[in-house]
Amino acid sequence: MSTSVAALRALIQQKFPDATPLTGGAQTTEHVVTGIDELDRILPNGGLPRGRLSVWAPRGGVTAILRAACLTVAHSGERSAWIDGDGTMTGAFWADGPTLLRPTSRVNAMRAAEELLRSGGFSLLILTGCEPQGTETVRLTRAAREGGTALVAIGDHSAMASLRMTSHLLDYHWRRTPFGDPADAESVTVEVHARAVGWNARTDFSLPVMHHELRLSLEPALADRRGLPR
Amino acid sequence: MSYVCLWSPRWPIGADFPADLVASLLTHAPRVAVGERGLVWADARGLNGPRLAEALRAVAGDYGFDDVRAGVALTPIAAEVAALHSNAHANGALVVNVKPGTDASFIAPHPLHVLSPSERIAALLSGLGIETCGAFGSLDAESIEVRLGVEGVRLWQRARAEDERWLFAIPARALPSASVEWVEYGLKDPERLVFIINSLAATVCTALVARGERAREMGLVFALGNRTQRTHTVRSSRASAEQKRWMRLVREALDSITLPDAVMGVTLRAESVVESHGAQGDLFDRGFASAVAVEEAFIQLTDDQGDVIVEPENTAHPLLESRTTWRNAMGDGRWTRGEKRRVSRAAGEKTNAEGAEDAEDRTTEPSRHGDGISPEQEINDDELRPELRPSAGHRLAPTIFRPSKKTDRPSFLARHPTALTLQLLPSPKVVTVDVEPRRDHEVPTRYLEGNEWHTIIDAAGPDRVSGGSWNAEYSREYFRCVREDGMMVWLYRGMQQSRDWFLHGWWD
Repeated sequence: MSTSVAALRALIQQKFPDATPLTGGAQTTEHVVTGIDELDRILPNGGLPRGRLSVWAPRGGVTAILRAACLTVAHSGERSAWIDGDGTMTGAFWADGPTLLRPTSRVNAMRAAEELLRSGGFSLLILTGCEPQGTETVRLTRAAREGGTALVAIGDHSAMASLRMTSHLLDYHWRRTPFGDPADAESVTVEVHARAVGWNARTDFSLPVMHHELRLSLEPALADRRGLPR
Repeated sequence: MSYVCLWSPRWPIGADFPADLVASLLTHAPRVAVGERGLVWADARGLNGPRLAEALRAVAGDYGFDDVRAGVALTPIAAEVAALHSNAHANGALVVNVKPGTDASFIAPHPLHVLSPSERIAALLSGLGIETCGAFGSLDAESIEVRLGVEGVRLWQRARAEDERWLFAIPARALPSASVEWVEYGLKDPERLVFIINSLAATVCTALVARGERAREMGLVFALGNRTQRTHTVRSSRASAEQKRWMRLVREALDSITLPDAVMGVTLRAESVVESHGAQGDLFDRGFASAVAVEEAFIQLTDDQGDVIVEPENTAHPLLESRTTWRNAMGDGRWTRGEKRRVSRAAGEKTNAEGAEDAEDRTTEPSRHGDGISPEQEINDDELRPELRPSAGHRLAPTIFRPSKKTDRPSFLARHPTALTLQLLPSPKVVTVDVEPRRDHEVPTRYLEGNEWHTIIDAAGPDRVSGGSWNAEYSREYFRCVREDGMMVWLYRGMQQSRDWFLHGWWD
């Protein structure tokens, strides 16, 4: 084996005498960091690959992590976009920074994704609620490569994906009522599993849980028993 | 259209005609042209022709031409004959007005030489015994065309007062336009039509670029075989001078157009334009180099899909699904400002810029409570977890409507961008829920979604909300439930008639 590698190296040096070999895992482009150190540490080259398709299976925590990645990209002076294909993004929890698109149909979502990818102006594009399939995946992958955009699709079809991610929500940390009942989930442990060709890593970290104000009660630790007929 | 023809046997003709007299005539008539044989034409469209003729004669009289004759008619040939050859001049009338619709009958008794025929035609007609315009005009067109050719046909048309000469130069249009007309055939093939319009678009867009302008909208005018015109306006979401973009919009417009007859001519004209101006570059903005490409993509998406690029406008409605209105982020150039805001944030100016903005908000809007709680604190109050809220004594209860612009700043999210947040289903989904009693209330233990039962291992709640009695009454009991697979879902039970259970969203 070593002999054949040496022979191959000699052949390359003979054919390309002026070539300088790449060493140390040199990269041609930076990867897109998510802003979550624990996650970036386990991703190949420290981030989401540019010009490639990554698929993230929707098992919990994915929206929070990818929104953090979008904000990190926006804060670094680059652009990120979020295509909300099924219209589940809640306006009250959307932060300035990424560009949000809400197409009216699946076809429009695919068209929007391709248009933005081909523009070359986005470092990160998240596609949710409309998983590309078949030739759509081919087209989007090609557009991502042309535009140099890290494309992340949330779904289960990982064909043509260079990076496959899965996340699970494990343990919630609850704040309890005086009776020991759950009152508010303060944080949750997320386990992320990243797989690529020759790459398999996992990590877990804690994420806070954000609630909105809905209660009528002054004391959040107690069940609200007002305002409703019983 | 009506014309006033002026003629004097004494005034100079051709280039010697006094220019200052023309300038004086233009004070009364919108358009004046000096023609052959000393004829001066004035455009009387929309004006009182005889009165205009008198005014023009008065102007000529000031220049010493008291013997100016004038003819007023709907066609140039009738006005010319009235000015030059009318018998009324012999009776002392210097202005001859041809009544509308009588141009042909006015010309008919006059001899043929008033039409200025060529010697060859005049000899032929004389040999045929045709002496008056009426006699000549009564012949049929085919026989004239066969025997006298094109020149004969044009003379025959003038004898019938069918004179469509363009006496006045068409003023140059202020905005770029291009047109093409044809008479040999009627065009019904859309592909060829697009081909022609593409050529016109190239001309118009090149002119726009040369003028340093971009068009906001273009007018597409079709001249049809039935002698009518159809005009369609094509608009772009952003001003542009790109042929490619305008052709895309024109193609989309053509898809929805049905023309009643074949096309005999097309005009493409810029209807409104804006000046081209480039944005100031920022060397520290990594995204500036691709800003144009992104803007192009946004414009194309907006043109294709409408308000697809959105941003939320939130209120403090008690029902979460009613809090957000999605508005177009591209409207009125707001995308550009948003981009600038993002750039500033990237360059580390966020603290100063937004801090100043927040300070301004705090100073311009007085506190509504008088207890030291600023509006900014009130906003955060809605979005903070309980331990981050101000103390209970300072809180507002119950939840009320608050100004929308103040409540859509997710300050908690800004500090914790990785927080799990609620995702809402487009509409709540009816589910079957099993419950168990917990002291004085019931909590879900499992629910059926589709064909799958999900076991609930933890449930917080109920969080009760009711209201809307003035329009759409609602009354709900919400539970935050953790499934055994780790997902936290949001269930509620309607507390009115049906008391059904709904799945409203999940945390992700």
